[in-house]
Order: sequence, then structure tokens, then C-alpha cells
Amino acid sequence: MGNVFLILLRFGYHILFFLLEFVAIYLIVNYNQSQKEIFINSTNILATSVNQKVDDLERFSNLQQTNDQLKLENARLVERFIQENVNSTAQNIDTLVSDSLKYELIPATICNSTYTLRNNNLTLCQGSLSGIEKDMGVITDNGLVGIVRNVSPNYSRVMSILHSQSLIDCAIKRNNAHGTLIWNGRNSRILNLIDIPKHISVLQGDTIITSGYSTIFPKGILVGKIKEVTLANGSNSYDISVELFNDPVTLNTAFVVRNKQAAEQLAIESQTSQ
Amino acid sequence: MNNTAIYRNIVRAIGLLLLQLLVLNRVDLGIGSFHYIHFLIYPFIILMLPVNTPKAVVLLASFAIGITVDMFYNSPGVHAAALVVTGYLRALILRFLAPYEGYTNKTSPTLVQTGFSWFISYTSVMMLIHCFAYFSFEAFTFVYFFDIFLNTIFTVIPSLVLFILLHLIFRSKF
Repeated sequence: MGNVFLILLRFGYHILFFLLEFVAIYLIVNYNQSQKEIFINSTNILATSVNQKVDDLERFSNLQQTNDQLKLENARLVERFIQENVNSTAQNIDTLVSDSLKYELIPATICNSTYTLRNNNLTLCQGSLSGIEKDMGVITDNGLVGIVRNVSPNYSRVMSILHSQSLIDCAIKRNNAHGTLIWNGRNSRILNLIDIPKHISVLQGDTIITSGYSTIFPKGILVGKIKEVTLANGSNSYDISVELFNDPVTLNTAFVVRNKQAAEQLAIESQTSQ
Repeated sequence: MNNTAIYRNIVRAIGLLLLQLLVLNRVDLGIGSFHYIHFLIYPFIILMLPVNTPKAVVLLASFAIGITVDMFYNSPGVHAAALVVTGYLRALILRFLAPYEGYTNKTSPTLVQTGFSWFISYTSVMMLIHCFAYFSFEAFTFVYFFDIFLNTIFTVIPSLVLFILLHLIFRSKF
């Protein structure tokens, strides 16, 4: 207590000065319009710049979380897009309701991939713990990635569409003609659509989408556009080269498509085929 | 500070405040677009306080006078802030300008008690501080530094001349 008194005695004059100055400036800022505006403006500039720095830091530390969130949001959006495609062909209101639950997208990160080999594969950082199962399709918002071949709890192995065994049923959007998409192993942006009979009209620039005939990919995922159409002598079907919309080399995120009715469809198909 | 000194200072304070608030407040010295001339006479109340006035009293008096002026100038806090700065720096300037033999107990920094040259240097330094502080607080930003500078110069000189004239007129009273 005595010390406090001594300090007051020694510095009281300065403290009093700052006190009075504070009161005066408080009055200036509160009761004078132009000074008030300047004060608010200046403090805003200071506070904003400091806040911005802190925000930047916070955003940086939350980057991973934000990224995951965005991936999930994207998955929901693409899901809706798929649902629209499915619903546009369905007439019955009951089908609409059940169809709207048919596909679910699981966001996934690609941790390893090859593109330069004849048979290319990818590894996803998500596995059965995230709900991924064998034979699910992997897509991005504007293209195909591949098909899940193998699943461990935390990883999945995906056969890329850039694989000699990859045969995906696709269709020309304009006239719904079906063909099979294969890769001939030369250019990672160019795939080939075969088995389209020569009586169907095929134009350069036509959009290729998935047909939805298998349980792997939903109908209407954009794949690419026709770059070149050739008809070999004596052949009964076109040889069509398709330029992909996405570049499979630069991907790092993808969605795994979960078809909830796949088992049911496969069961009834296998029963009847005998 | 004896009773006469207190009495004199109070009378001086009231006189200068009345002059400032009722007369100079209404004087417009703008010549065309040249509007830098102002009369600020009230800081002399603080400037003329006896040297041995307690520092805290100087500060409180500065604040009180500043607020009074602000009431009439309709600018809450601006004169007070500037005058508190002036009062705060008064002790420093006085120490800086102290004569060789020091101040006596009775010294007031008036023209009569000190020499003309000492008086001029003391008042001009103090008025420069006050006017600079005042116009800075008025603008509240140094963006208009040239305006603040011109205002300061063209306020210090006429105010000082006016005060010296008053000082000479009321010589016996001080």
C-alpha cells in the first residue's frame, strides 16, 4: 500500500496528464462528428489489418477441415445432379422417391496413382471404414476415374479407366446410342468408344455420358466429347475417339459412387440369365 | 503563491476567458480564401501561472479552462486536449528556460517580472506547442499537415501580439 502511494506521488503528475488527455480525447471522439469519423475509420483500418492477419492464420490452420467440408458439399451436389438424371427418366412418383435414395457419393482423396503404364491403377486414402466396397465406381464432377477392385479398412485400390481391362458402358447423349468405352493405351486424354453400329448417326463434338446400364456408374455422368469418327472398311461399327472432359493425370480428389440397390439388381439379373 | 497572486490569477483568468469567449469567438479574420488567422488568448492563463504552482493544479486548471472554452466553441474536448498537453509540457519548458540563478518563490513568468527576450521565447514556444496541438486535435489526422502548420504559424503571431498589447495596457494589474 505504501509503495502504491509512493508511485502515485512520483508519477501522479504523468498519470493525471494521461487521465485528462484520455478524457479530452474521449470527448473529442464522441461529440465531434468529423473527428469521430476519422477515429472510427483509422481504428477500422488498424483492426481490420490485424483481424485479417489472424483470420489468415486461422484459415490456414483450418484448411484441412475446410477442404473435407468442401469435398462433402461437392459430393452432395453431384449426388443431386445424378438424382436429377435418374428422375428425369422415371415417371412414377414412387420411383422418384426410391430413386432419390439410390446413389450416395463418398468423397475420397487419391493418394497414389500411375498414368504412364498400359494398365494403370490408383489408390484412395479411404477404405471400407468410409463405406467403400468392391466394384463401386469412382467419378469426379465431370468425368470418370475408375472402378474399385480391392478394399482394405483404410485404402482402396482402383482400376483406372486407363486400363486394358476397363470396359465401361457409355452412351451418346444426343441419341442414346450405347457403346463401350475402352483405352487403347496411347494418350491419357483420348479414349475409344466401340460397338456403335454404323446405322446410327454420330457427329464430331457429340457428348458422351454414362449409360447407367451397369450397377457401377449412375446414368448421365459426363465423360467427354467425340473428337474423331472413323469407319474402317468392311467394319460394322464406328471407331470413335473421345476426348475426356477431365484430365485423369491432374486429379487428386474423387467421389466413390455407392449404389444402394446394386445387390438387388445383380441378384435378379443373375437369376434370370440362367 | 500568496493570496494576491491567487487573486490576480483568477482575475486574469476570468478576463481572458471573457475576452476569448465573448469577443474573439465572434471575430472572423478570414481574408478571401486565406482563413488561417485565429486569436487564441486563453492559453496565457496557464502560461502566466506562478512558476511554483503545483503541477497537478496546472493540469487540472488546463483541463477546466479547456472544457470551458470548448463549451462556447462547441467542440467538446478539442481545446481541453490541447491545453492539457500545453500544461503538461509547461514544467519541462520552464526547466529548459530556467535562468542561471533559478526561479525565486515568487516568480511569475510575466513580462514585468522577467525580461522581454525571455518572455518572448517562453510564450512563443508555449504557444507553438499549444496551437500545434490544438490544430492537430481539430484535424485529428496528419494528412493535412501543411494546413496544421499554416494555422499554427498564423495563430501564434497575432495571439502573441494581442497578449503583449493587453499586458502593456493592464501592466499595473499583473
